Amino acid sequence: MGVNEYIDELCRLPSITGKDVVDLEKYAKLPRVQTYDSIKGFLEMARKAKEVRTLFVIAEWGEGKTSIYEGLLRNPEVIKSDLVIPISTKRLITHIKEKVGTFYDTGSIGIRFFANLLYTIKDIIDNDLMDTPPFDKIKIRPKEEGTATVLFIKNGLTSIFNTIPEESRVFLFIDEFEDIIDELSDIRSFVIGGLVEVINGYPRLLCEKGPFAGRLHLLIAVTPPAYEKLKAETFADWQRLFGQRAFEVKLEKLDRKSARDYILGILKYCWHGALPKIPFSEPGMFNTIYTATLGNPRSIVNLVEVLLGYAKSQAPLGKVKVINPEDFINVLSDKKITVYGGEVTLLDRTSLSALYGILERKCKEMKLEVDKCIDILHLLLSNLSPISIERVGEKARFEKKNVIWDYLRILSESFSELWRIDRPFIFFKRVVGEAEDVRLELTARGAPQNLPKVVDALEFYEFDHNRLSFRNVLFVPNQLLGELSFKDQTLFQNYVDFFTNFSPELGSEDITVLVDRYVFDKVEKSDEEYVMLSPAIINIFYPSPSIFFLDFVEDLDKRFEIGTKLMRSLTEFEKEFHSGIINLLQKCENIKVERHFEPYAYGKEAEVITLRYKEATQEHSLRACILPLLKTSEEDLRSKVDAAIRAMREAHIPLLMIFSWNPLPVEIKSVLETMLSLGMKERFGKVFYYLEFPLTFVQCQQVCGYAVAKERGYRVREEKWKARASRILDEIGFERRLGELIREGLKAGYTIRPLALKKLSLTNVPRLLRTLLITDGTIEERFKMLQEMEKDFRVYGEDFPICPLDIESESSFRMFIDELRDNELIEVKEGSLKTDPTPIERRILSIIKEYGGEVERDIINKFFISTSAQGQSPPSLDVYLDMLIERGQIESVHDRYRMIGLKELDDRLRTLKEEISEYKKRYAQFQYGYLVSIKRRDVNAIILRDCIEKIARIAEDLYRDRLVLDYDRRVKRQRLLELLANQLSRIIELVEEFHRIFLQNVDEMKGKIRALKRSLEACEESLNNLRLGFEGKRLKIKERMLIEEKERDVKELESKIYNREELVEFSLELQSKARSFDGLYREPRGCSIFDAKIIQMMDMYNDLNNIVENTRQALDKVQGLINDFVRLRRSFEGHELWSLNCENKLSSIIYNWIKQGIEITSR
Amino acid sequence: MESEEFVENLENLENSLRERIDTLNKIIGRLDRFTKIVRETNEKEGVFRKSVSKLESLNKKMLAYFDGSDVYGKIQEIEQEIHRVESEYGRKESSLREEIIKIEFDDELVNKHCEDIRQFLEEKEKLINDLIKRQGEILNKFVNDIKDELAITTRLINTLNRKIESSPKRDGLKETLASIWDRAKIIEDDLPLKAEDLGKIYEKYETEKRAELFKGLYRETRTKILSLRRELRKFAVENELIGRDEIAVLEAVYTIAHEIKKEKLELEFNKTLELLKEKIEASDEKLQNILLNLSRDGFLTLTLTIE
Repeated sequence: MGVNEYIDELCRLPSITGKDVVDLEKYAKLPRVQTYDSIKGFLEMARKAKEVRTLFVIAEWGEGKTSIYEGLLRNPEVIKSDLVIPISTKRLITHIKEKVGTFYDTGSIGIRFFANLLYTIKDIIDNDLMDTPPFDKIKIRPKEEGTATVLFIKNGLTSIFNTIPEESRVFLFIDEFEDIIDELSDIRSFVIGGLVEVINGYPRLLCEKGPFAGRLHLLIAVTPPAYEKLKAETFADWQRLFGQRAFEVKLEKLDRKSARDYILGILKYCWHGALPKIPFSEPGMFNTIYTATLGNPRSIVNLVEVLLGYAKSQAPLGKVKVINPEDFINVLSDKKITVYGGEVTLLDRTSLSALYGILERKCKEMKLEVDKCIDILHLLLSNLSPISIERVGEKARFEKKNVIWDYLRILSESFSELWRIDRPFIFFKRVVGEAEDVRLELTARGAPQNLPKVVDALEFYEFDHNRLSFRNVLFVPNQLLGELSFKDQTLFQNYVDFFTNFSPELGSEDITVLVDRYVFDKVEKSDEEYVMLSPAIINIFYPSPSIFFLDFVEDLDKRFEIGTKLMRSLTEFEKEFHSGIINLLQKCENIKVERHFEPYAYGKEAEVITLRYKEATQEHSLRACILPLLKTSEEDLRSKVDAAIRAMREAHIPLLMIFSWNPLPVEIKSVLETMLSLGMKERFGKVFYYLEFPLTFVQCQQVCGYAVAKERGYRVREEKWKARASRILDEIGFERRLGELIREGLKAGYTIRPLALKKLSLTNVPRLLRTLLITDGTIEERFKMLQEMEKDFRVYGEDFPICPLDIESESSFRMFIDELRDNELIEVKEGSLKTDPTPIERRILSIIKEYGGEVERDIINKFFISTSAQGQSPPSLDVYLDMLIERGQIESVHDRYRMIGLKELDDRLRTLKEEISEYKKRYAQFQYGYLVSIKRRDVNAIILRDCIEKIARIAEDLYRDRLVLDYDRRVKRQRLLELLANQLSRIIELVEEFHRIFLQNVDEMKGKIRALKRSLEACEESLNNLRLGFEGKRLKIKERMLIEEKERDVKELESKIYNREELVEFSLELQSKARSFDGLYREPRGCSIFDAKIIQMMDMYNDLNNIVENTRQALDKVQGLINDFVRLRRSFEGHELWSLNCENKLSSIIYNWIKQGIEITSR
Repeated sequence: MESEEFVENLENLENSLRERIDTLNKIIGRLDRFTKIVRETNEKEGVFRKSVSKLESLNKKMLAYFDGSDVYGKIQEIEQEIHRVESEYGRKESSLREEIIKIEFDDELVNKHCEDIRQFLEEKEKLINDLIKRQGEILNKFVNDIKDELAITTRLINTLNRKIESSPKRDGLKETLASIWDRAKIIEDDLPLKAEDLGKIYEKYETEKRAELFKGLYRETRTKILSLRRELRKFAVENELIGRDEIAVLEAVYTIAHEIKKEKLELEFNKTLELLKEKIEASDEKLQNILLNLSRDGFLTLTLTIE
């Protein structure tokens, strides 16, 4: 296309590192007026301040933060006699990492941080600025071992300030502060915390009446996300400091016109101001560069350098080739550039080749010249501004004007065939007259507020006559948009996209009205048609990062449709953003994300995200909810945050993950912080946490884009989306931050990891803690205390509530304690044990407190991150719940946990005291309760009355002291009392059980004895009455006397009182006897338990019973015989013989004789 | 004041009781045996005494009834036998009483004495039964004699009654004959058919305060019958119902028939004559004629049998 044109060779190419930014700035001015004014204002203010002042310079990568130092802060007029020391954040971090531990002599994080800063300054001065005055005179001596950090700082500052006038200040320019974002949380916390402390007035040398008060200030260059992060992490301090000691300034963005001037400036820089001619054949190329780079200065410099480099290489010696459309396309084809965090490929060669192929075929079909067609294509692609059809024809050297339309049609069909884009062109008419004049006219008073934006969009430029500068030109759409919206919706949409690309805040209706009524109708237009590629085509070849990143949408037209819609009105896609975020998270490789809905109140349900994070051999599981935020209105954000936190509370979700377009406003964070820590007192920690994941526009667009594409049923390349999603997750540091959250949870108590136990079981952990809680002193002292208590209260074979573990020796006790210590459940310092609640326990208390003092176990569990590892038992919340129960802080009622307050402690103590007192009364006259337990041959004897007496004394003492004891001490003593009371209950239970069975046996026996005695008496009476002849004496049965004698022995034993030593002495012998009595002997875990006196009594009763049994048998026989005897006697006495009627003489003689004879013989 | 105590264990008490029970059982066994033997002896003795009493009572009534009759002596003999039995019974009582006083009580002796008594009573019972039998035989024989006489009389009345039917004075004759029949019936009613009847007749007489009439009643009854027979013969003859000889032969024929205990007598003629001749002192011819007359008048039938 045309003849090659050459101009004089350039002197230099622009630097892409910004080193020669000062020189470049002489020609290529970035729109920095407001920025520079703000910085200058800050400098003035700082000079008058008596404390450290800080200015955050906020800009995206490549927007020229660094150039602030080179372009402004090195300017003597600006900086005057002050000293600016540039500091790289990376270098600072290196020093922090290396010097860790050097400044431990002070607890002030601000002083430690400043000491590290001073070391970094020393490093920079010693190495980078050693020859630069006045740095060459500064000699900062390293900190000597043993000296105070603050002295090192004082000496260092002295050496700096000694080199500059007394009224001069030192400004530290800390560049690329965003580098801290990639650091581990401890480094990040240190830097941010230290920085806040420095701003806050530490070291004191720099403020108040310190020697260097007001003489050192900070300028910190930082990207927006890092800045937001900093603000979020220092929320409270930030609220206080911002506006007083800390300030911010945001760099201005380039618009189309300032970009044009910037590029022109670069070109002038390259020719040392003597630019012979602009080395681009088309003025629209400037807009193409702007469009391709999205106005990022560093990328603009980069592209210009590449283009000029090519132009130089393609020209004869001493010349530079003027870049024509073909060169432009050749150079930038497949060129990758990084803009706003995203890498894009310009003029994708594959797409171009495909297009060339179709054009070739179609041209052949149409019998048109393919080269000319491609020339037109190149012209349109390299020149993103309206070009007159006539000029296109000239450039393509068409003899007939009209033939141009054939070529444009072929192009159009090809675009359509390849990308299904039916309207690849938009058409304009040129506004007649001077652009400036027309603009003034159009935007005169009374014009709509947004009209200048529309006019800006329509304003392009063309070379002036000598091609050394530009002349502004205004265009209008070639037809009324209102009409077009009815006739050709696609084309109408192209115009809308054209305007919204320029000003995203404009809506389609606004555009139509503004363009038609306030521009189209009011200007005089040329007849000539101007053509330009539509935004859809531009986006194919110069994809904005956003469109580029939507490459997972398979169909290009759909991709563009989604991209532009999102670009125009991202905030309207909140629903899609929500589902997109869920999908995004589900693409995380190491984190399994499950989404489900839980009802939490009448008719309400909460979306709960379960995250299972696999990290090496561990897996963490946590519950969270997500809050995707696209809207920017503070009111809207506030209401959403408010609703989310309420749902979190009610649905028991501990973590809120906020995914927002750009970092959250400080005010919203303040609302978050306030609401999440609402009601938390000092003793309790936070229950709810949040993680903020600010997303860039590009990231939001991809997330929404995926959701929209799926929603609309467009074809999606899942593997590409997966790659994009992974990238976004990496960029927002999702996995990293989640990991950090989990790790921080170990300290904060919301992450539960499995306990590494070898000697102890999980259930034994709280049990051992119980023992430690109620004993004092060193391990040795505690062990002795245990032994004492065992002697007094332990029943072998039974659990011993004071010491549920079977601790056989002091060494095993120590071994168990070591295991608790190793699991950070207790602390051992210089031999003494600290048994303070663990962070997890404190969190449990916070949760219970949050829910009104009583809550179910499952709910508590929902608030923890559970970490499990292969080969380890799963982490158990129950251990910690049981530990809290052991501490007397909570109690469990039917799987619910309830906090115990002082009043309850008092009530319980009172009840306990009354209970013990009741025991005391009940067992005062009790003749049993000599409980003996034997383990192997070791006898432990508990005398119930003595036991009650001891515990009663403890209860009385505690009741007396309760008001003067501190809470912990009080709980500890009461816990001991409660455990002893428990043990007492158990002892009583055993004693009562033995006694009850004993009484059952004895009652039965007593009944037998009583009955037998009565029978014996009756028998005696019978025999006496029968007068069988006992020598005239009263008969007494011998067995009755024997039984009465035994009864007297039993009574004597019953009233006998033993002491412990006596019990121990004879109990071993009783053991075998005890075994024979059902229900009066227990043998748990191989130990024997019985009531010694009861066994003795039973033994005696057994003897008595034998006597009774034998007597009963004998008596039964005797009684039977007595009955027989009586019966026979009655038969004898009533015999019929005695009453026979014997009237006949002979018989009567015989009868009387017999009667007399019997009477005589029966006597 | 408490009495002194006697301590004994149950085992000893048991043994003691067992012994006492054994003794008692034995005594009761003896009582049972004694009861049985006394009861049996008494019953036997009672039967004996009843028999004697009954025998004696009947004998006294027979003495009164048959007073004046030929048999009176035999009855007196029986009376003497009864007195003898009673005397022996009295002696037995005396001897037993004396003996018992002499000896010591002993179960075996009880048995022996009871056995003696039993034998004594059995012996006497046999005797008494004999006497009773003799009384019965006496009573039967003499009462039957009267009964036979009465039967011939009533037969004769019946024969005459049939004969009157053809008489012109039939009504008057019948009346007379009926009066004779009635008196024969009164006699028949007062006859003791067995021993018990004698007691009843005695009581009847006693009740009717005519006990003195009982004495010799047997002889009186025989007289009455003979008187009736004479009146009847006279009536027949006087009213020409039959001749004097004829009626005598007819009476003799009826007596013979009664003696041979046949209601309808069918005798060979010669034999008849022979028997009649024992009763009546008449010749054969007369007797033959009378028989023929009787046959002709229809008082008997003479049958000729050809061999």
